[in-house]
Amino acid sequence: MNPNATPIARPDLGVAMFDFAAEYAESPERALRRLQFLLLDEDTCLARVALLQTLADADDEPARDAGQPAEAFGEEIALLCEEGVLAAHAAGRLDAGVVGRLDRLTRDPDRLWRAHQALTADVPDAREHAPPEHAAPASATASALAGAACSDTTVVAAPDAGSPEFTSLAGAGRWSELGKRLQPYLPDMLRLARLPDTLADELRQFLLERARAVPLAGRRFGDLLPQWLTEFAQAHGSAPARPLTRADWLAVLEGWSVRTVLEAAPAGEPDWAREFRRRALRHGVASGPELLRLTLPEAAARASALPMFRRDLLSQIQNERDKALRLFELN
Amino acid sequence: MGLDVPPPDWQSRDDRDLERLFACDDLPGAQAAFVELRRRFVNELRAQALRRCGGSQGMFEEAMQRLDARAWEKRRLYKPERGRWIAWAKTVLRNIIVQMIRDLTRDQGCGELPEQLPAHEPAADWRLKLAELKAKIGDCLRNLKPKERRVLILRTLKGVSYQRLGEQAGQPWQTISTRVHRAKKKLRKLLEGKGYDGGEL
Repeated sequence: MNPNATPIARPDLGVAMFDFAAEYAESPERALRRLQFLLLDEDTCLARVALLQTLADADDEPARDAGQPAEAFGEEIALLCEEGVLAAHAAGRLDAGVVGRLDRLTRDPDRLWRAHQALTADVPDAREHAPPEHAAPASATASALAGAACSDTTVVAAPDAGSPEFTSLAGAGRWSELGKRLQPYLPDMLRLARLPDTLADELRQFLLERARAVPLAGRRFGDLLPQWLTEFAQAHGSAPARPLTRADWLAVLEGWSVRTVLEAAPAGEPDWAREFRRRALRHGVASGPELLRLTLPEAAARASALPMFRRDLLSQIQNERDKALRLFELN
Repeated sequence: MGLDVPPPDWQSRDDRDLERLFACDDLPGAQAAFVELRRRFVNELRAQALRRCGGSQGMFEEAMQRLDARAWEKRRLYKPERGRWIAWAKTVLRNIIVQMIRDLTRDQGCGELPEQLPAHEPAADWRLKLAELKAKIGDCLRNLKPKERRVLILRTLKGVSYQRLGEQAGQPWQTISTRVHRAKKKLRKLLEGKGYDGGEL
C-alpha cells in the first residue's frame, strides 16, 4: 500500500476518536449527536473500528475478562434504531446504566460496526416506522395525495418480494419479526434434528439468543443456522448423525414449500383435487419430482384438469421455495 | 417551493416513466414527476429520516424540508439509467442528515457532501477501507511514545476511568486526561500527514 496515496475513506477524525462518556458528562446533547454521527457516517465509524482493532492488536496485556462472552448490546442497538437516542434523551429515558452501555458500545469494534449497519440499513416496511405525514406539502392537492400515500400499499414493495432476509433482520435488531418469520420453518428444522415439534418455541428462543449474542461479522444468518441447530440438538441429547449441510437446508425448505402449498386448499376445489392433496400429504411427498411421481386413485387420475392442476401446484411450490431461499439467503 | 401538482391520472404511471421525466429538461413535467415520486416514496423516506435523526422530531422535520429543496435543486445529478430515484433520494437525505448533525456538533462545517447515486460511482468496499485505515493507524501508533500508546489502549479501548488510571500511575487524574488528549492530538496530526483530515477533538 502506498503510504502517500490519497485515502479512500474520509472519516471525521474528531468523532472517530471521541470519548462518549467524558463528553456526555459535559454536554449530553452534543455527545449524543456525535454518537449518532459516528454511527451514521460509514467512514468515521470504520476509522473508530480500525482504531479500536489496532489498539487491541497493540495491547500486550490481555483483558482479565478475556474468554467471557461479550456484551450483545441488543437493547442499545434497538434503542438506536427504534426510538432513537436523541428522542430517548429528550424523554428522560437515558439513565446512567444505558449511558454506560452506550459508552461500552463505542469501545467494542464488532458491536459498533453492527450498530452502524443496523442504523443505516434500509427500512423495508415504512408503514411500521413512519409517523403520519404532517409537514406542509406543496399544495392542497398534493396534501390529498400525500394523505393517500399513507394508506397506499404500493408505497412499499409487495410483502414477500421485498421481505428482508434473516441477516438484515438480525443486523437491524428486529428480533420479534425475525422470530415470527422463523416460526413456520421450526417444525421442519426440529424434524431434521430428530426432535419433537413441541420444542418449537424453545428452538425459536434459542436461535434468537444466538443471533443476539454472536456477531455475524460478514457471515449470513442462514450459514450459521446449521451449526446452531446442531448445538440445540446436542443440548437435547439428539445430535444429528453428521454435520448439517446446505443440501439439508435445501431439502427442509423444499419439503416445507410442498407441504405449505398442499395444505392451502382453496374453498370450492373439486373433490378429486382435494383427494390429490390429501394423498400427497399422507405419503409425505417432500419435493416437486415426488409430486409428479405420485400415483393417484382412479377417479383423480381421470380428471382432465389434473395435468394443469399439477403444474399449478408445482409453480406455487417453486414460488414458496424461492421466497424461503431468499429469506435464508440460499438463492 | 411551488410545484405543480400532477393530475390524478399520473398515479397510474410507472416509476421508471416518472424517473425519466424527473431528469428531463421539461420543467412542468419534471415538477409533476417529482411531486408524484415523493408521494409514492414519502413513507420510506420519512422512516429513514426519523431513524437517522436519532428520533429527534425537530431534526427530522428539518431534514424532510431540506430534502424537498435539495432533491429539486440537484435533480440534474440524477441519472435514471444508473439507478432508482428512491435510492438517489435516500442518498440525498442521508447526506442532509449527516451534514446537519455535523453542523450541530462542530463550530465549522467542512463543505457539502457529494450527491452520488450508489450505482453512479461505486463506493469502495468497507473491508478495503478498513484495511487501509488499520494499516495507517498502525503506522501512526508506532510513532507514539509507549506511554502515550498505553493510555490510549487503557482509556479508548478498555474504558478505564481517568481516576483509576491516575491511581495506578500515582498521578492526578488531570495529568492522565491531558496525556490522553495529547496522545490523540499527536495521532490525529500523524493521520493528517497521511491525507486524513476533518473533525475536531
